[in-house]
Amino acid sequence: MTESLQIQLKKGVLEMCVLALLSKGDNYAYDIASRMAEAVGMGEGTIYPLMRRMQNDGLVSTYLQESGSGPPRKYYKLTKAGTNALKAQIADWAAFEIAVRKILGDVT
Amino acid sequence: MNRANFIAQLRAGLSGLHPNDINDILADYESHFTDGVAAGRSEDDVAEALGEPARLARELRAEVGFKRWESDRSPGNFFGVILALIGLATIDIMFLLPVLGFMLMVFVAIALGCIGCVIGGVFLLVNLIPGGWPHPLENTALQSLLGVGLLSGGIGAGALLLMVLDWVARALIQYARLHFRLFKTANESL
Repeated sequence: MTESLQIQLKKGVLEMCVLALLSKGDNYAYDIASRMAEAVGMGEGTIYPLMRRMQNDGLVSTYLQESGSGPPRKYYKLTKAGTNALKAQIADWAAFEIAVRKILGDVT
Repeated sequence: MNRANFIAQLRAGLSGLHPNDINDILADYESHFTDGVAAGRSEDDVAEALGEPARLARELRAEVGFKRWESDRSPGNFFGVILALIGLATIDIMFLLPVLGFMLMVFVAIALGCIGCVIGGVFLLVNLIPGGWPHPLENTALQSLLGVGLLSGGIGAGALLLMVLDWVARALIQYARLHFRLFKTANESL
């Protein structure tokens, strides 16, 4: 039960976390995936469908940049809509967290 | 599973998509392997962390189908969405399958009804052109009224059907995304 709650919670905030990572600077998928895998234990394969959907939704855009080794890398960049979505999601998250904390405060 | 195996399975799972879409998706995973190996991991290791290629392919396919419908709401793309949903439903949410089948049947029935009305209306109107055909109705004014009524009714109902179709497809896509956007492959580790 606890495990499934964790999965549901992480699912809900995955997009927000990726947006937050990108707000600190443009990045490529492998790096995003390994950061997310390390931080919240996200499956690495998850990142590509997620990035594709966020790109479809206009939250991120991509560009190619030469890398030191190998072919050029695809970098993801927040769009204006992505920045706005991040702001809105952070506000939602903060409000939700306060509400949950209030209720939990009565119990523990 | 090594890199070549993973890519081959993914490619097989994506077959039927536009070659540009396939190349785009494969390039993402190719560079993931390149970066992973550069970071000192084995190909098997990277492949395992990525998850089952057949499943990834199914989800990526659905996303491409949804995108196409959103940018171009043609009947062909609608069937693409239905097929993608059925593909997801057979594996992941069985209960959606009969629902989708039933809806498809209802839509086809209503669409045929609309087409029938339009054909009937056109017939009644064309029939009024003097040319010696016997009129089905004695009263010419009544027949033209009926013809116009059927024709506009058919077109109106058809337009309404398209609007409902659009709405239903969006709702289904929304539902599917909520359930698949974070993909069950990741659940074991997520």
